[in-house]
Amino acid sequence: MFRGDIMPTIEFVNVTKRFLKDKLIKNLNLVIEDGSYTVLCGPTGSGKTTILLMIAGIVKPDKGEIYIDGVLVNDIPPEDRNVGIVFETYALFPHMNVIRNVTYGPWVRGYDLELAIKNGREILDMLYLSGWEDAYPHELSGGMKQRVALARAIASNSKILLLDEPLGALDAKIRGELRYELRELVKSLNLTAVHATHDIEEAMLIADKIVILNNGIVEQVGTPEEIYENPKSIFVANYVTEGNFLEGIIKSIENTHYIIELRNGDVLRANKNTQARYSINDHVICFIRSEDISIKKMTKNGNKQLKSNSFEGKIIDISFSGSFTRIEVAIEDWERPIVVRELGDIVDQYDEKEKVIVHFPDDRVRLYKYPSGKKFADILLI
Amino acid sequence: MPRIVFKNVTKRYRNVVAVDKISFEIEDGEYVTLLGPSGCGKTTTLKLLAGLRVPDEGEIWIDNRIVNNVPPEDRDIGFVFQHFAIFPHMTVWENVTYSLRLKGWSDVKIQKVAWDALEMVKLADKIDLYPSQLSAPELQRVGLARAIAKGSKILLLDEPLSMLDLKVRQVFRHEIRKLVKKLGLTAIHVTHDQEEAMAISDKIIVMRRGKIVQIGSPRELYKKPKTLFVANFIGESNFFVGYVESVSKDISTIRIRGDYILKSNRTEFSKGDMVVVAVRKEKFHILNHNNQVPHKENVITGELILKRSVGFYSRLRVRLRSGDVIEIKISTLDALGLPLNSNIAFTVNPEDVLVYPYPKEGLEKALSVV
Repeated sequence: MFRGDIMPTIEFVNVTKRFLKDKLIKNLNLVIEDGSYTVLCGPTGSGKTTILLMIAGIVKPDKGEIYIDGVLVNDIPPEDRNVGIVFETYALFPHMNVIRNVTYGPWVRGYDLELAIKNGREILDMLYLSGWEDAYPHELSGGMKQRVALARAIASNSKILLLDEPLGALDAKIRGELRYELRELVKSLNLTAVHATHDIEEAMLIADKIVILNNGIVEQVGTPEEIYENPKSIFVANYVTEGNFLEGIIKSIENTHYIIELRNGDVLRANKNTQARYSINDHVICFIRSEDISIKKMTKNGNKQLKSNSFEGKIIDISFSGSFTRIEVAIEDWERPIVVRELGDIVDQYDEKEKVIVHFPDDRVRLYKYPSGKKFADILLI
Repeated sequence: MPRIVFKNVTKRYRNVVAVDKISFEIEDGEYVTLLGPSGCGKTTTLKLLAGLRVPDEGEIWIDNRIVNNVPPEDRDIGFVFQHFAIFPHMTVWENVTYSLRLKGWSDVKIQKVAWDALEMVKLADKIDLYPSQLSAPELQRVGLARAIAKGSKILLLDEPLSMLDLKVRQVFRHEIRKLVKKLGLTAIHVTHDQEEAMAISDKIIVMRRGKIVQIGSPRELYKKPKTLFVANFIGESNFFVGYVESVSKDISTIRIRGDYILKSNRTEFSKGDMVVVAVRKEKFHILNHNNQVPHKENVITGELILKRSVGFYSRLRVRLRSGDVIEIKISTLDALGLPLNSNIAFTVNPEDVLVYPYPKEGLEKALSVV
């Protein structure tokens, strides 16, 4: 197999495209680098699939240009783009066995069939499917079917692999394994992969770069670490983890800190590091990730001297999801409870209705400008 | 009080046994989940409870009366559907009040209960909108409002979140639980998503192939899974095949593939037994040079071949001496200093080493979720 000698770059320049009746991808500018594993992540209707279909050439942009390897491809039909695509549902030909499914593309294009079969067998081997060449789709499990679909997508020597929720139809257990296989395969064949999913954990586990999409607009592009550590907007912050959002006003500004007054009069301190600049009286949203909040029991004689960003509250809900414990703490006069998450099972350490103190370090308080004209509840809608 | 009891209930479709002699009890005010992979019988169980199916054998009791032949409309049960089942040509208000009007309730009464229900699901400002103007989560809120408006004390939820995005699902599930608790309802929620079940249930009924395999609180299932299937289906585990080397009063010693020794608190085995050991992915503790080693036993070493952070925790893939690859979950902070392709050592407490007899059907089949 000869791959990877020319690795394609995909570039969107000011691309606009109407989709799903009233949705719009507006002025999309995006570069997908050679050999990268890029994940498009966002809720249903955010434009992920439409972007994939435009790369494949199945859908044409209304405006703007798409380049692959520096070549304008707007008018190049899908079959000439050298792109493989895998959908959520396997879309295998039910009347063809595995090897015929895999070699169908090369066969249609009139390639040497013997070579295509040899090539197909190699790919099946990489995907732990050797021995299954003669099986029919109905004899395979969901995970196997999706691996066959994957083998078929790369069997035509495509340099670009597009994956539209490729793990969506699979059981959680199978999904867990297959996501690593996907990345390994793409890396070992030096492919450029663009993978659409709404599952942020999946994105973080396999992506080199994540593109967060919301309503047809790119909210942020970055490595998984950048997206997690430095979410550029409220939407991204809310999408990448379970966080707490508090509404407030910049009350005063110190050398290293902003002092924020919440609606009920309570005060928060936020480190200025990495924050945008704010002025006194700016209306802001404070974001604190649930995993950055610590929780401890109230001591008998009360905790009279509370550190800054510490608040007394009462546990109103505690649950364990199998990997982390999630605790909701109601704080007097606060409109919403604070959510705290900790890795592992710490349910035994606390009781419902127990009084506790929650604390978050001031460098974990991230500020965003309050979106003007919006109701608080609508800001967090996904 | 709406106490629900199933006694040896069986339901067949032609030759297929969908539900096979199942028995369980649900207390008043409990939030119970029927959990299992597709085809396990959980939806049939819900339909039996709703009265949409009649059992072939056994008894279904609600509130101290047998309801086997009571039609759905006489069971006083609210139902929330996976696909929302909202009338597209009616507004939110009309959808929620439709069945109340059919019942012939007075306008005043309808106004009150529908308004309360819509406030409860935070749709009070959207009552004049049509379904096409609503998002998927809002549609399911309409479904919830409709189900609670008539005041039934039992609420059945059939995969109520599966049409929603993951992120929305993770928040919405806690809202549903809170609503149910606030109204003092008894809820039976069907899902195939174990994390969802763990996060919101008082009690989980795990089903597989038409049978109940275990009933317990989320943490009971997590700590003491009765079978390999439950150990695999609830949470995330690594499995090791091994032999019992010795058994003492409170500790058994097991040699697993790759020649590692694991000690376990489970002692119901004999020397020489072939066993499968299950360890939760988050129960491993990394040993590095700074680490005080509390006990030198139960140490596993291997090559770190992959490390990915998902934010507040990281997943590590480690290749053992046997060539087997296992996955462990640790806090991202603990994972930071571990270089790829280096050898790492980690340990697990004996109480977190779960041991099962090697299954006759083979390990793969015993774990299979299909």
